[in-house]
Amino acid sequence: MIASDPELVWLDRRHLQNWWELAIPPGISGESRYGLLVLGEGKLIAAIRSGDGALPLEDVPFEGTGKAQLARLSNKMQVEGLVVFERRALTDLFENMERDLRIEDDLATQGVGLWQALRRSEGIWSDPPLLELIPPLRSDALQKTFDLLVPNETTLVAYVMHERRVHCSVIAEKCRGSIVLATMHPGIGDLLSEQELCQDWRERYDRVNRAVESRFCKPSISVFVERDAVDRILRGPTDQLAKELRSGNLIVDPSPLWLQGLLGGAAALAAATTSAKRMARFLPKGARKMAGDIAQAAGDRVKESGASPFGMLGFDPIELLVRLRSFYAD
Amino acid sequence: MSAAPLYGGECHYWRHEAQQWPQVLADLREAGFTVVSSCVPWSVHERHKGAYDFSDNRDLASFVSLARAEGLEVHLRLGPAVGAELNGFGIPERVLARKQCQAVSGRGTPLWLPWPAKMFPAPSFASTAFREEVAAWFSALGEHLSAAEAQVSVDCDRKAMGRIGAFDGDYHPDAIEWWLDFSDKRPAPRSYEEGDMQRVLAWVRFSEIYEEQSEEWLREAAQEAGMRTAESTPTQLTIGGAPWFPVVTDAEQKNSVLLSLASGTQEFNLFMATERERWSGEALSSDWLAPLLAALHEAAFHTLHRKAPITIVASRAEKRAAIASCALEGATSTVTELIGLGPSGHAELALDSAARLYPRWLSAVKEALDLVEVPYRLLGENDLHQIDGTTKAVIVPTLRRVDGGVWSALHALDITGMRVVLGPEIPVEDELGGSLGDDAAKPAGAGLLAAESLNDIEGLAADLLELAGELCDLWIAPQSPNVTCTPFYDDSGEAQLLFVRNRSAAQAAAEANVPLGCVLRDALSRESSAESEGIAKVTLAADEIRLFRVGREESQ
Repeated sequence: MIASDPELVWLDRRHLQNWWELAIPPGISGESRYGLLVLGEGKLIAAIRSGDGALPLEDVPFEGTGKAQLARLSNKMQVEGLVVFERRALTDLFENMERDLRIEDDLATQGVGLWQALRRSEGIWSDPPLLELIPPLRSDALQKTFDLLVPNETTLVAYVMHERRVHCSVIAEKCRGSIVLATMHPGIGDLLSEQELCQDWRERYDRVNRAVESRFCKPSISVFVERDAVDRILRGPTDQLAKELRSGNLIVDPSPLWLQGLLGGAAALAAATTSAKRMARFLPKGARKMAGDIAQAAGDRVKESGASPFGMLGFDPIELLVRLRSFYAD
Repeated sequence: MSAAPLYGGECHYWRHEAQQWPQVLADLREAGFTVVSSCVPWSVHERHKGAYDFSDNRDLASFVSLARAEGLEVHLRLGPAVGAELNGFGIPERVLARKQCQAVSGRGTPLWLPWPAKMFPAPSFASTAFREEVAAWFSALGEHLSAAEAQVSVDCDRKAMGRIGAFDGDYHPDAIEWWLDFSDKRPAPRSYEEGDMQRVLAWVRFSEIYEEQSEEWLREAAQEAGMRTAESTPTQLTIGGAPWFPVVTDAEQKNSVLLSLASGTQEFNLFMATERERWSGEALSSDWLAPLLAALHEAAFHTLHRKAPITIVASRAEKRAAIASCALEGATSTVTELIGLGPSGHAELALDSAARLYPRWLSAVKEALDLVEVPYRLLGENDLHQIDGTTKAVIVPTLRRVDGGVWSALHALDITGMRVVLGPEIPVEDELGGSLGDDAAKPAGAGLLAAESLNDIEGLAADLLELAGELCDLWIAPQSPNVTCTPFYDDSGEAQLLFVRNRSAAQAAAEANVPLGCVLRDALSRESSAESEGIAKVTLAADEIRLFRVGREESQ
């Protein structure tokens, strides 16, 4: 999925900073505090509250590693999150990871191996229970799904706009099954200035696509969205995504059929895929009906292929997204 | 006037087209740099084993010649693990893939380093196989650079690799041979047990010796290949960052550089200076860089000095104990220092209580001195020879342990009449957990920090103020407790540059005591402000540092 030596060029510092801000849920950024406990064969031997440092053990009413017990302890310690390690859990985890890593694998394959080792690990607990979110993933399934969803010799484009500026952007080029290049708006800045684009991005976004095609490859998925709309989608009611699509604060163009199906026709696709059922939660009833034709076409394609877009993954990424949204809640 | 200052700018020659080199080098020179620095990645030059490419934009000798013609000194860092956001940190994959070349963890596995664009096993610098590979590369590079006027440096920089927990390595058989020589044939520890602290402390100390021996070997290998090794390497200040790290803003970046300069870094290398892939925010794109370098040149900053009546000595003994007794085995300070555990950083995880408390004491002493605007310098345990006649007192926070060499030096300083302050506890062990021997008693004249001072910074400040003796009442901001002034003087005792730092998270309007007739000119914005009745008004944003050129009214 990721070339062994990808090019990362024309990176814009402000865009990078804004991507970081978007990616980190508000609940775990800024002033939020977390607790870190270390156990020696089940008995508490060290307790830390971020910012305050080590706490006297007698001040930490540790009862056990059950979900309810950790939730109670988080509350008592006045922390937003709590991680508990058995003393040698990290070294055991590293041992499991390091035995299977191979230098000839790409980062995605190596990363899947690490995630699976973490998923299998023992002696690590958290509140909220984040380890439960790690899906059972195989690198070959991930690669095949990536190849199915994103054609070779195409680009993925994402722009977030804010206050008549490009808040952040990324352009990624896929060749021979892997991302070989990632860049940002400066990569096409000489063909279309940020200022020119932002005068009316809803009308001019297609010039981004043309510039990307002329310099790199034709985009297969391009997403343009207002910064505030991202917040509303992440934190608002479940049908917010559809509202933002309708109001033009989110434009996905081009979008392949499978994505159109997910975005616009969850109801029709529900019969074919679990993901669509999940996705349907984001959509108002009217929108499902209106998108029926596109959805039907997409559904047919999916059925013809014998699989849902994410069928090979072994888990439903949309379900995962739905669960992750809770971390972005205020 | 002494020799030219060493203001280095990092420029990765292979990341530019060779035709661009003259312009890039001219830009560096014009911005005020005097040195161009670059690492020399092995993997960039080695096509396959024994075949090296020094053509086109890999023609390092030509790059060096162009830089010299532009009037720049050239400093090359050979690594061999150079980092630079390269796969394998610039070591060829075929070398890292060889099991004989790989470092071994305490669990017997290769020690993988989780760096993009893909993870790789760390090399073992003790490994004979790895050394043979390095020697062959250095030999080829030395031949290519035979006529080039460049200084080179080497390092094994395990800290940059990020896996520096006590038992992360290196358990390679060749490294274990070194350990057996060092430890009198004791088996290498693979975890911390309370009753085994001495052996674990020895292992942590050994990891430092491992680095020293490795770097000594690398230096010799470079010299044998005909390359001229540098006596010392300038402090590296990072400008910008790799895309996989959180971004530091331009204002934070500027403050970080100014803070380093105010703390005594008078020559440096800015990494990165020029634009390149896998990086954003290089120095040449910052609008404050050229004015800053101009001001440093104009004031001959590298020849100036700051007055620091107090010297704080930071001993590594408790730091090693913190690494040795880390409650969460495998946790590394590279990560824990980033996630803000608490005032003692990584040491908050120490099971040893003295090791856990030590960083808090070090911080408390610094905070107290800042509070009363007493200038100080911070020395490591190997730098005690820098204590000279300008030092009025030496403060060495101590708890359970102290480095044996530091302890002996403190006894010697005490005999000369130097004021020495220790504590809050008199140490009972040396850096390896052994006895302090005949010198176990506290130096006779030494004072002790009061145990309650840790939670009474104002009281501690009042005590330490007395140690500094009579201080000049200029270059202080007495009404602004969070503002610190740091002047740098020329040999005639005239202040030439002034750093003014706001240590609070709120904007500050400071009134600094300055000499009559003094004019402060902001080195970056060029704004001037004249004193009025010996007071200069300086406004500072939260956490901001400003640099002023100090002048007289008639000279403006």
